[in-house]
Amino acid sequence: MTLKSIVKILLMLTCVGIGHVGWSQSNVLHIEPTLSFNSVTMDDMKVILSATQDEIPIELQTIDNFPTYWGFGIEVVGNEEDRFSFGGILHYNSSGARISSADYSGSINYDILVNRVVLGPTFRFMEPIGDRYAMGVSGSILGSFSNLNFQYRLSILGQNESSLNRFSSFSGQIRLNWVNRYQVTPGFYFIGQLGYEFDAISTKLKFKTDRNAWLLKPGGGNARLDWSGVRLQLGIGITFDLEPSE
Amino acid sequence: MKRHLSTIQLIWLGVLFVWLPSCTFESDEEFFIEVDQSEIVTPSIDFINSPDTIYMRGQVIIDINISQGVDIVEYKVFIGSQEVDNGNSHTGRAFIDSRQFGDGHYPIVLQVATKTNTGSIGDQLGLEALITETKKVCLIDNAPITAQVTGFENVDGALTFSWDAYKSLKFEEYEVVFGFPYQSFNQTITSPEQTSVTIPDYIGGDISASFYLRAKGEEASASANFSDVHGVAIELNGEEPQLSILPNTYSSFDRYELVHNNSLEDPLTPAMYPIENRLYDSEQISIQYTYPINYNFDVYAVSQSDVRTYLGGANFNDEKYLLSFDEDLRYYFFEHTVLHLKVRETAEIDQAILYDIATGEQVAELSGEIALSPNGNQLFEYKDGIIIKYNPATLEGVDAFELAPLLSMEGEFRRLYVSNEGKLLFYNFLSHDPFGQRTYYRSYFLDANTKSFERTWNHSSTTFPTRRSSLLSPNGFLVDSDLFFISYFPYSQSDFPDIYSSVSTSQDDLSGVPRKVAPLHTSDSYLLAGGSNITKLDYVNHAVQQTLRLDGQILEIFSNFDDLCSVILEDNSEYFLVIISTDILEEVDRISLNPSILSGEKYMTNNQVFFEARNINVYDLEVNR
Repeated sequence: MTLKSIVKILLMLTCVGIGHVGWSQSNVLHIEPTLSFNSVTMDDMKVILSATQDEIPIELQTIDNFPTYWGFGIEVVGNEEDRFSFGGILHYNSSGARISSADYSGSINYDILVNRVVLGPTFRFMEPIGDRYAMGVSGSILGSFSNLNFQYRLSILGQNESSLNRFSSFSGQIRLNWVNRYQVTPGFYFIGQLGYEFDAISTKLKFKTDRNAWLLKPGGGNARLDWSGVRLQLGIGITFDLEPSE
Repeated sequence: MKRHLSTIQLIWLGVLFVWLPSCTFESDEEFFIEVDQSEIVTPSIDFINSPDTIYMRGQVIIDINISQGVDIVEYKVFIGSQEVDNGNSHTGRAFIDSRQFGDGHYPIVLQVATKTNTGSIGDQLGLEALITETKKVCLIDNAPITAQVTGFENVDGALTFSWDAYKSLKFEEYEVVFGFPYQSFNQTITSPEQTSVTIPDYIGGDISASFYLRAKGEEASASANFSDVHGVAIELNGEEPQLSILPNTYSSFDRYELVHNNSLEDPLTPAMYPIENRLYDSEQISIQYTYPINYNFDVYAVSQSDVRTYLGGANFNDEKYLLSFDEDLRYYFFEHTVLHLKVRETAEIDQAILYDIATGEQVAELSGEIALSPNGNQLFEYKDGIIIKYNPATLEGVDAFELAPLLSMEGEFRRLYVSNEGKLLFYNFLSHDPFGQRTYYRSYFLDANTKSFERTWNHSSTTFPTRRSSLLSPNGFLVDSDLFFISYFPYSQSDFPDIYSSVSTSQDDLSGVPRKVAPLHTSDSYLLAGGSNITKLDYVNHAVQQTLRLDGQILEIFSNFDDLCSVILEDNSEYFLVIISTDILEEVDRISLNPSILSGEKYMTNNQVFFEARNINVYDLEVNR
């Protein structure tokens, strides 16, 4: 299956999810901007970071090593009067690593920065508990457009040296969430989701400047960005009435 | 449950979407390590053995020293802002060509980069160094040194040599080498302010000075020459030759020494020149010479410390007494007058001067292109295209006619000749050959009696030796319209007379004929003397007409160009003047001679023989013709 095919399927599914809002029986639309806190695995990148640390003749300390970092996004889902709803997800998140050393003479920093845009359809099942609170689960099939930057910076006694190598890949994930919602007003609510994302497939990390070259990990094999990790999403929901006012 | 989006909700959403994109992961922290810099060693650096101001001229080597105990990354030497040398050792030599800078003062900087050895990032990567500098001043001086001499000057009786003072840097010394004709000495001066030296014992003569200025490790030189030999001359003072020496103004002068250096090898009178070396102390000396001759002296000046300086030579050669040295003169005496005509024919000017024999005074003079016939009866002048005929006895014009209607000449006019019969020969230069070996002439013959053009004659001569075989010899004359006679060439080594015929194409060389020739103008013959014989030959075919044998050796023969000739005869160390009739070649008179007069020119008229010596000696002839 080619990247283009996967992208087409995801876009189609996303559009189906969002489009469902229009052709379903629902007549309201929920727009949910969220902040997310994401842990990532990035095993290959950590190996590369460690190898780089060994190669540089200066003793470098690890400052960051792909910590949990927040992202943001938006979910659009249709009415859920029948407890089920269907929609689309568009998220952005990033992480990275740094090894560094600095003294009076200057500094040397080596950064691995990753980010992605996540796109995909989502379904949700919610069960109301009380007047304002509801709880449920959701599942998503996601496609990630990822960017990887290796950034090297040396600044010694006013002499600066830097390099930047940029890669990109596409990968697919499955995400499962436990969903909680608290209705504040009829058109506004808080929503929180906790789940895990499984990295499923990935393409090669290709150089942006030379699409015929790709990144290998130390010891052999294609390097990949493993976005697997826990997802905590907190956001608000805004309900839009799609029927004209009477 | 159906709600529209409120204004507050929209604002809230807008802020959220503006803020969110800036929240991509970035790592701002650095792992900072405190590095101990207290152990950094600052090296000691210096330009070795150099003053605070370093003098530079041309290519300069400066030694560099950097203390031990440091790791040198590199050192650089700057003059001004320009790097002139670099290296990385503790001791180095900077090779500097100062000529790439203009003259003047510049900062010179030694900049040394050493490792800090702190273990810092910059140190580990070799990007960090401790820069240490030392700075001095250099003076670049590439201006050439020049030696300027003022020259010699007589200052209060002492000859002084002076020069311009050297006013720049790095003076070492002056040296002056004085050269005299037979010696030299030098003098070294170590004070730059001194600008002159006095030459001890200089009392005249040639002196040269080679002046050397040594400074800045270089040498410049100049020279000057001086000569003070004007004080000696030999001149006539009345009848006596007088040696004149002008006052010597040098304080160390003591006297002159005059050394006669004539060769005393005179075959006739070797004992008659008893000139001894003499010392002359006075400033003017008169010498009474017994006999006129060419005298040569070496003149020396002697100082009070008996240093002799050669001043040069003094020569005395008075033409009044030694007429024989002038080959261009011909004399003619006219029996019917008391005058004689002296004709000088040279390439530059022809001159005919009429003298009163008795008084020696000049009566008349002609200057220009003059031709006198061999017998002295025809005198012509060519001037401005006009041919003028003169009476040689009075130098009065008797006839004149224009040349142009008669002929148009080619070439440059050189000489006019006239024969006894009044035939004129114009001798014109045409050209040299491309190699300079031959010269071409064209001659034109005119009959002055009929005023008619007769013919042309092409003639060539060798250029070397000088004027050989041309008709320009002062001893040549036109015998008749087709015969030119040259008794001998004064400029050649040949002993043989030459006869040129305008009829035949080549020179008729009388091979084997000795030089002693006496032409006879009143007949077509000439006389040759050789050994004891006198031979009379035909001009044209050189056929022997008569021969006369004398007892003794014939030293010289000359004639009156007519019916008499004279020979100087040596017979057993006695000298005689023998008068011979040229018609029948017989001796008609014999006179004993004082040999002291033999060196002078002789000539004879119909009744006199003249010896030009100190005084003109005249022997009256009582010839029975």
